[in-house]
Formats: sequence, C-alpha cells, structure tokens
Amino acid sequence: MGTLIFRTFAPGLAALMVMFSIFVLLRGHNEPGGGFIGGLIAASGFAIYGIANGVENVRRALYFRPLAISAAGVLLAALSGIPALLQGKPFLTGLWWFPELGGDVKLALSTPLVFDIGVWLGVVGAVIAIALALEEREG
Amino acid sequence: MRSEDLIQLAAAKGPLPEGIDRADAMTQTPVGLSDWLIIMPVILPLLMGVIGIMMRAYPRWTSRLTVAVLAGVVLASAALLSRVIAEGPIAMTMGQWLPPFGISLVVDPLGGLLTLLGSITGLIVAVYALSDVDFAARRAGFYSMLCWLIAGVNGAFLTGDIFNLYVWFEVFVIASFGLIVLGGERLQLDGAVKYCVLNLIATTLFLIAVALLYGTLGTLNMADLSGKLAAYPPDDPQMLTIGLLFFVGFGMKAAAVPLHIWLPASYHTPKPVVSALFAALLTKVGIYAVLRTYTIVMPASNESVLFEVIYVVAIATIVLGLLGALAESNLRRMLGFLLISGVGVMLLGLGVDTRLSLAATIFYTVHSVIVMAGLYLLAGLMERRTGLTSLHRLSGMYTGAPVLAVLFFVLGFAAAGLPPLSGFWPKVLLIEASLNEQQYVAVAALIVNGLFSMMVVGRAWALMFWRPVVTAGIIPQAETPHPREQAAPVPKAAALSAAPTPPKAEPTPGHNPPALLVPVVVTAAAALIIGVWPTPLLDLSDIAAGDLLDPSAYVQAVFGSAP
Repeated sequence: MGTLIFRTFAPGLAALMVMFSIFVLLRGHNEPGGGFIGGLIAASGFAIYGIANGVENVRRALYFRPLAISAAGVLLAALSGIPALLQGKPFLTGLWWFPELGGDVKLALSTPLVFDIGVWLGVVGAVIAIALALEEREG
Repeated sequence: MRSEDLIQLAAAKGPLPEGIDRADAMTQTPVGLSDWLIIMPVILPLLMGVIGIMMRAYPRWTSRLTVAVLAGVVLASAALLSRVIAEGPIAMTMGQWLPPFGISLVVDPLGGLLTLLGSITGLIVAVYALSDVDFAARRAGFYSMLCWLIAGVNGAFLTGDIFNLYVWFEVFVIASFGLIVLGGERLQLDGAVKYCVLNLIATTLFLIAVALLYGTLGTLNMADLSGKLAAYPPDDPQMLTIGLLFFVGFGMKAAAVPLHIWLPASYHTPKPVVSALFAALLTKVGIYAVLRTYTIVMPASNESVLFEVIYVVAIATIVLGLLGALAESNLRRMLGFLLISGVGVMLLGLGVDTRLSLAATIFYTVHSVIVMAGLYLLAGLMERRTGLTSLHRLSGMYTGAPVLAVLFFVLGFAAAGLPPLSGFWPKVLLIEASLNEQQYVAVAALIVNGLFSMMVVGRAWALMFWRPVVTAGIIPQAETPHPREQAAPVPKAAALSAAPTPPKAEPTPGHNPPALLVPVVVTAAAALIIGVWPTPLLDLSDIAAGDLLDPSAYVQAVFGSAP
C-alpha cells in the first residue's frame, strides 16, 4: 500500500474529502446530506491518509484523541437543545437566526446546525478511532 | 431548491409552499422552567459521560466531578418526584412538536420514583468506585460508562414513547457491555459474551414487537397507543402476539424463568461494583417495561390470557430462583439467584393484577434496587477482604470482620423478607392481594419464597461468618480456578483506546478502607428504615399503582387539552 504514487496522492485526497464532507454537512438540512454521512466521508479521508502515511501522522494531524473529538461532538449535540430553555420552549426546539451580511446575503444559523456539527464530530471521532485501531493492528 | 427558498422555508412565517401550515403541528404553550426538570436526570449524566471522555488525562478529577454531577441528578430526580406527587403526571414533548409527532418524556409517580432510585444507585456506586476501581479502569472510561448507563436507565423510566424506550434500552445495554468487559480477563469475556448475546436477542424481540405495533396502529406514543388499544377486545390475536413478544423481550431482560440463565452466568464475572449496578437496575428496567406496556400501553389486555402466562412464569421464577440459590456455592452467583427469585415476586404482582398487588410490586422493586446494590457491594468487600469467592472457603469471618457480618445479616434478611426489614412489607401485601383474589398457588409460592430465602441467607451467613475457620481464616489461599480459566491465556480485549491496558491488580486481601463501608452502610440503613417506617413508601406505591391502572391522568398530561 505504501507506494510512492499513493503516498503522494493521499494527503491531497484526504484534504479534498474533508472539504467535501463539510459541504455535505452544511447542505444537509433540507437536502440529502448531513452530519452523519459527512462524518463518514471525513473519517474515510483520514483513514486513507493513515493507510498511506502511517497512523502516527494521522494522530499528529488530528492533535486531539479521536475519542475526545467524538465526545466533544456528543457534548455539542446535547447542548444544542439547551438554548430553547431561554425561550420557554421544549428541549431540542430548533431556533433560527439570520444575520445580514450586507449586499442581500443572509446566513441561516440554527440550533439544528449546531446539532448536526455535533453529530459530524461524533461520527468523525468514533470512526477514526476504529479505523486507526485496525490499521495499527495490521502494521 | 435554491438557497433563498430554503431560507424562506426555514423562517416558517406563513404557510409552506405545499399549503401546509407548520404551526398546526407545533405546541404554542410556553414551557416553564420547572418542566425542564424532566430532562435533567437524562441529560446531566449524558453530558458528564462525554466530559469524562474528554478529561481522560485527569482520572482523579473526572471521578470527583462525576460524583458531584450524580449528586445533582439525585436532587433533580427528587424535585421531579415531589412535583409529580403534588401535581400529578407531567410531560414535555421534544422539539415543540405536538404529541404524538414529537417524542414525549412523561413522569408519572412510578417513573419518578424509579428515576430517583436509579440516580441514587448511580451515586452510591460512584462513591464506592472512588476507593475500589483502579486508575487503569478509570482511564478506560469506567465513570463515563457509569454515567451513560444511568442516563439510559433514567431515559427508559421517563420516556413516553415506546420506540424511544427501545433507544434508551440500547444506550444502557451498550454502556453495560463496556462495563462488563473492564479488565478483560478470560472469565469476564466468557460472561460478557453470554450477557451480550442474550441481551441483544431480547432487545431485538422488543424491536420486532414495536414494529408490529407501529404497523398495526401507526403510532408509538404511549398515551396515544393507550387510547387506540382500548378499542381492541382483550383477546385480539394481533395484540396477544405483540403483547407476548413484549413479555418475552422484557422478561429476558428481567431474567424471568426460563430466560434467566444469562444472569447467574455473567453477573459474577465483572468487578463487584459493576455487578451491583447491574443487579440493582438492569433487571428492574425489564420489570418497569413490562409494567408500563401491560398497564398504560395495553389497558384492555387486563382480561387476556397473557396475565395467566405472567402468573405461571412468575411462580416458576420464584421457585427455581430459590432452588438455584440453595445449590450455589459462589457468593455472587448465589446473590444472582436470589435476585431472580425477587424478579418472580415482582412479576407475580402484575400477574395477580389488582391495585394492591401492583403496589406491592412497586414497593418490592424499590426494596430490591436498594438491597441488591448493597448485597453485591458487600460481596465485593468480602472478596477484597479475603480474596475468596466460594462459600466452601469463606469461614470464620465473624471474628475477623464483625461489621461485614452485621451488614450481611441486615441486607440478607431484608432480601429474604424478615420483619422488620424492607422485604417484609411487599410480600405481606402481595399475600393479602393474592388471598383477596383466591390465588392460593401464589400465596403458597410466596410463603415458600419466604421460607427458602431464609434458608438461603441463613446458610450463607452461617457458612461465611458463624462456623469456625476452615482454612486459615482471613489468610488468603488461592482457590483452584475453573478448568476453563486454567487454559492458555488469551489476548486482552481491546480497551476503548489504542493504549495497552495494564493488567488488573488482583484484589489483595486486607482491611478495607472505611470509605468503602459507607455506601453499604447507607443501603443497610435504608433497608432498616423502610422496614420500620414503611408508610410513606406504601402510600407512594399505592398512588403509582392507581395511576397505572387508570391511564387517564397520564394521557391527559401528554395531550394536555388537545386530544
């Protein structure tokens, strides 16, 4: 697996996959996509990088432990239900905020988006942890 | 669809393009701060669990913080229960959807009481683990999995949606898989495989039953189901099938005969503190689920043949559990069979099916949670003290460990139902309820249960504490392990992390730190107090049983004024 071609190609491919996964994540509210599938795509990118350049490099690139990333995602997803408390609405009610960026550009920020980012982080962390453990055992 | 359109949709002002007004499916009543108490017993341990994973480098602080958070959960559960007793059931439907679209969390007296107990058990176990669980296990996530287990159990007690109940079942089952393999020894993995396989089969049967119910009625909200199922005749074949599937799945979880074999095969393998947690809570969730489905969800099934099935299974469970306990020589396996016999008593209350017998079941559930947690923790103390687990070898401890002798006496005879301890009242109530219904077989089974439990506990106490020293007393001696354990060592199970786990330290015989005694003393004191002063719990059980038999308050809480 460690051919020169693959080793050269893998970092670029991984970066592309992570970028695409973020696109899928942001697109996922009303169209196909979302946190879970986005997380799988990003984790696949890191897994490819690990196969090509070694697990240690992936761990260094991630900086945090994969399981800590996963836990942070679950934390974010659970916390996204809390702001509804301030509005006197039930837990996990979706709240929206549309800041104007001038020039007719509107951002759609919402608690479902925060939840989705939490799911994304949770899936990324958990799948990378599994993939790296398997790759380590092979080597 | 272009993004401008998306933003327009998301603003949710005015009708949607398809002519649907989203507000029709939304609740407009504001939710008070006090309603938020409902999710606290679930969300707090869940958050603490993930924070624990993130703080893996600081196991000492993680464990202290976990104890603090679980104490907060106990306070929140107590506040919730007192509010439910004062105002009747309360409900909150997630995400502002109207029931039955959204997932409702509902607290009725039974759910509130069990949530409080689940939280208290979590706190007791967490305090015990402070001095008992080594840092290797803490780094492998002991406290996080403990929190998730408590979150799952509390979620199961609070949810008002039957599919959501399945989800919480999975949450605590997965947490329990993690806890049961902590340490990764051969014997533990052996127990864990049995435990995992049979629990997965049980939850799968439950899921199939939920799917059938949804396919038949098109709703999963318990309050909604209650109304729709009331129209079915008691012996409708479809509902009988679904009800039986529920009972098989939950009965397996609760360890009812003949599906109980996994419990004594696995509960003596993990750390004692994990055994205590499982014995106190996991079987009770099965009991709770049976109670819930057979009263609120399927109110018309009261007259059906299913109650005969429950009745027969309950009596078989009582008798066979005790015979197993009499035959066992391993302390924790013996406790497992005692627990199974108690499960039979709880199911019998449902089988007799009157308000009095259901109250007895609820009372017995409370008693069983407290006493079983205490007994298993005590077994852990004795293993730490002597390094032995077999009744054949434990002996002469009365002189060496008088405190343990007293604690075992109190907790053991509470489990056996000796007055004035906590196990006495529910059995008396249940005998009275059975006599009122002319169920003489049940009366006989309960009397046999009382007699044999005395024999089991008396025998264990006499062997371990009373008889003179057989070996050299409190001096450890390696027991001959089971042939299976003498086989070639297997590779350790992979822990949560890729880091290699150091081998678990063998329990070194010696004196226990006093901090370990505190949780056990608390449970023993609770058993004594409930036994001497049962009135508050009796009244509460009676209210909870009344609410189970008459789901109208529950349904009213979920749907409010809108049917």
